Amino acid sequence: MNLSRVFTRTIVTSPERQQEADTDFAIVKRVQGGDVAAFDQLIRKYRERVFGVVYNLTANREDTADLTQDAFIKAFQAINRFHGQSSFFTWLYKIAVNTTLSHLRKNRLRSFFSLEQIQEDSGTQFVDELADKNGINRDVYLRELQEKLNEAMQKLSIKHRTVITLFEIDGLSHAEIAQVMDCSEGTVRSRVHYAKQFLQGELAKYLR
Amino acid sequence: MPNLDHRSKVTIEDLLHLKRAERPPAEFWNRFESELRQKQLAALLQRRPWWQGLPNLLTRRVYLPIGATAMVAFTLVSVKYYSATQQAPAFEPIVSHAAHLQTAARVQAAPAAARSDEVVHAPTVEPTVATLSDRLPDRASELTPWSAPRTEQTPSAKSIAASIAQLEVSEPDLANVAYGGTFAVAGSRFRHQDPAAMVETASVTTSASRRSRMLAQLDDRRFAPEPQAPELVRERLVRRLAETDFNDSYSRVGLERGGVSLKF
Repeated sequence: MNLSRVFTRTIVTSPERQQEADTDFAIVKRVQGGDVAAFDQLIRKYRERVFGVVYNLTANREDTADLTQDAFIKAFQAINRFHGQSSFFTWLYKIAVNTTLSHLRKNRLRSFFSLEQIQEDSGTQFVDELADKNGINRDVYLRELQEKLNEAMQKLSIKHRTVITLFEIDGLSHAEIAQVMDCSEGTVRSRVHYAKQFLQGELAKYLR
Repeated sequence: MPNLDHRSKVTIEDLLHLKRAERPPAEFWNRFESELRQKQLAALLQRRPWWQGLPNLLTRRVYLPIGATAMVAFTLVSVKYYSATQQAPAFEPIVSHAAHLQTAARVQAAPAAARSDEVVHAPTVEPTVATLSDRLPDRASELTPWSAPRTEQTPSAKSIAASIAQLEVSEPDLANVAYGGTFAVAGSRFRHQDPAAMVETASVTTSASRRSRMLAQLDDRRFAPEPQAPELVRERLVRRLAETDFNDSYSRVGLERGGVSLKF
């Protein structure tokens, strides 16, 4: 068995993630072999997730679109350097996060919100109840909550924002976040704890 | 109005999950894909600078040749330096600590009869005194082959050498006694003597011989007190120096500012 595959298996513990990683690696092998069109499969598979990560870090949809495209192009250019030491999505996340963090550091002073519409689906029922409780129109309340949430997120440091985004919104494990951010799992746990405490303080009005 | 008590608790995780719902509409992805394709083509056609290809070059399997070349180069340099070191004669400690200890032991083992007014010479010792200054510059070039031999002296070294030379010229016996014959580096007088003479200068004197030497200097010509010095002082000094107990207590005698200096 290839050594890189063994190493990947030690990192990706979930069977579903392992299967996903194997599938991705097969596609990557095809791209490395010259099948450039195969990369489109990876783009379609991960574009929304990568977009979500970048969007939650920047809170600006125009910047997010550019940064997501840049991340995919960088991944495409560096695809020959991917040897399966980690899962492809972790590697892609790492590129996207680093690209975004670099952008945020360059434009630290220039930040304004450009938020996406909240797509109605499951998980937003509590908004109706909170709006009823406060006697406010639901849409108005939802918009206010969205803005306050993004404001609170932007008050976090870049590292804490990244960790809370990857953990709570994208559902990555501590180990995967540690791999993406090049830090220890303990550091990730500590940052998640701090970020949650901070957000609870900022959004206490909306919690009950 | 709904009953608030039956509502589930809203946590920070619920609020954060709300952000998952912030998604662009479906038509956004069509535009996104076309833009990405254009950028991808531009990136493919763009000529990248040469230095951006270095990481790719390094990630290729060139580690083995580079490592092998480095190992061979290191081995060649090591062998060359080692052979050069082997050809040169082994370094001999010129004035070794062991030799000093041996000399001291021989002196202590000298017969008690030597406590007379005669100078007792130490047993024959290898003439190593002058070789320190003679050999070291040559050896230095061998020890540090990459550096040019230093010919210049520091100001302090020049000053010390001048002082010693002046003392040897003006007070040869005193210099010999004071330095025990072991500091004849700067003086040229000892270098031109034969080894036997050098051994003699390196001899160790007993307290009795020191006393006799000092008294001889005082009586003859070496000590020239100030003209206005009272005669009583001179006599008292001679008498004091003649005392055995006093002679055993000082270790070095010298002339300083026209007077006698004793070091205890």
